[in-house]
Amino acid sequence: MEEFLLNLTRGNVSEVKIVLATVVALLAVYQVGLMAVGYGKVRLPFLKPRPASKAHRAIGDSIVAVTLVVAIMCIGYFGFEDDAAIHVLLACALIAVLGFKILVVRRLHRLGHFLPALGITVFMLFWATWLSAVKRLF
Amino acid sequence: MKEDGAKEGGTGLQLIGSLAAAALIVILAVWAVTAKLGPNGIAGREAAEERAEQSEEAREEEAEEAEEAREESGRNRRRRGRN
Repeated sequence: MEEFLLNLTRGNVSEVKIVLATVVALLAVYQVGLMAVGYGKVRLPFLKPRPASKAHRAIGDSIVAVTLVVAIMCIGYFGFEDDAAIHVLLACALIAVLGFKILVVRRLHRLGHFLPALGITVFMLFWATWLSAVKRLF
Repeated sequence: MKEDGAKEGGTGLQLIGSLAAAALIVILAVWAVTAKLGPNGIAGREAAEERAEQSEEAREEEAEEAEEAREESGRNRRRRGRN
């Protein structure tokens, strides 16, 4: 796995991971904005709630895909290092909450009223995980 | 009917616009992060640090050797003086 990741990124595993994680973290901010429009909390003349919600779903699917790639890169290359315990914990919590949110969106509709809270939790976990990774690297 | 079509067209356009904005965020993020990492990235920086460490070690070794050589020549001079 380590060899595969090194070949795939031409030896730049950390750099590629940082770029992807930063893209995801910034998109998470955008997602919060889109859903604020989607729920009617913010009204914009050029964006109605329905397209905002649709865009949120489409971008969310992409974010999940990229997040999984980052997670696989992180575990495959760095493993579960002792000095990164906080980062590992935050990342595991993120994956768990994100998975639960997707489940609520797609299957457990009766728990739909928890979606804003789940969304905010996912957003905060994305940033906390990103910060814990960046702090270790710089 | 016509109004519905126009409404749907507007919605589609707004959706495309939102996705385009997301793409722009991706581009800006990649540009900003790669600008911060620089052309060599972390691997390059680590290699540079390693090179600096090696040259520092080499300098220390040279200094030690020079010191030993000085001590050796001092001993030889003293020996020759005694003889």
